[in-house]
Amino acid sequence: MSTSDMAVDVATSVSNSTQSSDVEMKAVSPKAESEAYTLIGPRKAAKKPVAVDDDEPLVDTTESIPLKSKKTERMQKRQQKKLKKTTVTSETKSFLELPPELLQEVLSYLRPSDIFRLLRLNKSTRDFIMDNEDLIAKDIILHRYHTLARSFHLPVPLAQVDPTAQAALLSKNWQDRLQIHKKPYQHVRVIDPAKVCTCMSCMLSWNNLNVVLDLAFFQRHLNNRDPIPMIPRGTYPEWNRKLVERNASIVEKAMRSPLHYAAILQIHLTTLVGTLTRQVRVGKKTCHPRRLFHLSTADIESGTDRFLERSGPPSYEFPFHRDNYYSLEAYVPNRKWDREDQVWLYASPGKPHDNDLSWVVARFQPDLSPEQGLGQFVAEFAEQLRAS
Amino acid sequence: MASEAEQTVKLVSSDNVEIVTERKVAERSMLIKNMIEDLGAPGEEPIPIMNVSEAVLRKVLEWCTHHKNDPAPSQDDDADSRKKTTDIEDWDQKFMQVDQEMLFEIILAANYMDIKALLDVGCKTVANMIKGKSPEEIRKTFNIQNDFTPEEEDQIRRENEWAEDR
Repeated sequence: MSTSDMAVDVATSVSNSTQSSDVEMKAVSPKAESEAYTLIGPRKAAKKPVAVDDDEPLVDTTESIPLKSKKTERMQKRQQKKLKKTTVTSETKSFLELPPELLQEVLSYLRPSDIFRLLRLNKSTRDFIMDNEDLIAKDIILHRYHTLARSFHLPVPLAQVDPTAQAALLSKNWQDRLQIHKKPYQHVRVIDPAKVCTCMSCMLSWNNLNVVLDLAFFQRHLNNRDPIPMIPRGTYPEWNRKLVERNASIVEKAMRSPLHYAAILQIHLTTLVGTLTRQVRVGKKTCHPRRLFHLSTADIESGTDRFLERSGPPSYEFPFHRDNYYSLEAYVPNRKWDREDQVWLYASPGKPHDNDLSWVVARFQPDLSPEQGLGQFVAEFAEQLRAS
Repeated sequence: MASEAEQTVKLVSSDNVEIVTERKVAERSMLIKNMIEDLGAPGEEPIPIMNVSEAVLRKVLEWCTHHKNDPAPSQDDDADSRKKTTDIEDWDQKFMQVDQEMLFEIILAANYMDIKALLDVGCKTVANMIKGKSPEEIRKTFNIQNDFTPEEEDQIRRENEWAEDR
């Protein structure tokens, strides 16, 4: 006998006893006083069954009736016939045999993760993707990660900077000045000035992309409400070194490969959507997140970052420590909300790098090589001798 | 002169079958639209659609009939690709429930006949068949041979693991 059945039994017996006692009350039997007590009993009991009933929600276990009628049969037959009529034999047996421009069009509708999976399909697909990587990634970024791409710039490889600027960037004076921005963050590997431009905006771009990967790594902890492992000051655990090294190598790859860059943006979009929709249970209460940017289910399904174009909180502060991850809602830096026009404002691409680079070149002299340094010393010494 | 809505055009498929259709329907195809403009007198001269067989042409015209009143696509290229989404209208989704070879033929025909919207729907349909699937599942779906050695495939998988599993 299930609990609900029992509850029903109790309820019926209770109502029976109420009725009988009513009758007896009218008759004013000698037992009237004791019956008065039985009247109180049922009221208490009557509450119980209601509470028990709550436990068992109604479940519809009715099996769906299979469609079977002459009408459906006719319809199915007609559909079969239609399918037969439209069957054609084609030279093109799989999507890989489509002309290249159409294949590229198909691929541009996929997500970066799908493209990476396709790399394993077969050799010709891999070669096609590698050869057309720039165009495919450009299309994907344009229609899926348009906003994120304007927020997260790629740092410029040092080899692409002109030689005089390179020398200025590598000068001891400039690198010393950067110490404050190269604070040994626990979650970001220090930029390598021999590989990457260290102008101010490239430094910040480097840090941003690395943080995005690190943040994505710890999403599982945040989802399960597990604490992010703390690193005591002055210690350098091996797992952390490996993690930040992995992130740095991905960002370095992204500087060469637009598909890797697109994949980082996809990962960050997953992080953003995950954070904005995360429900957490505190005790018995479920805490619903604040829906920033008017994020809707359709937005989530679209797999694009279009919702970020709506108004929402700006991200001016860099998450300088993993502690910041707990309260970080949507990290989309490098933009400012224009109240008048109701749009986000972004820096034009490449401009911050150009400005910052010329600033460094104007103020920092390249280091002199040892021979040059000695030559200059001799020349100055000779000058002094001549003067005296 | 008959009003434009009533005008008909004669199309001839690659297997020499004549199909008569409304001018408005046929003009969803930029190829046909340009040809009609060049020929001047529609309805009299049959228009050859060289690369498209009858079955495929009928299917394409079925799509054009349903979409004959759609607004003309905008010319702004950048805004256009921003509007791209991978979701497909319900009617189009049903329309695309055909076997793979037909699907590819429709895509090729849409490309040849220059019907951008139909081409988009076709490409999206193929993309949706790939999306979220493992390489093994994709090979099964499209009957593709794997020419990687297990070691090669494993190496690519390990290199890109961080980007794949989402």
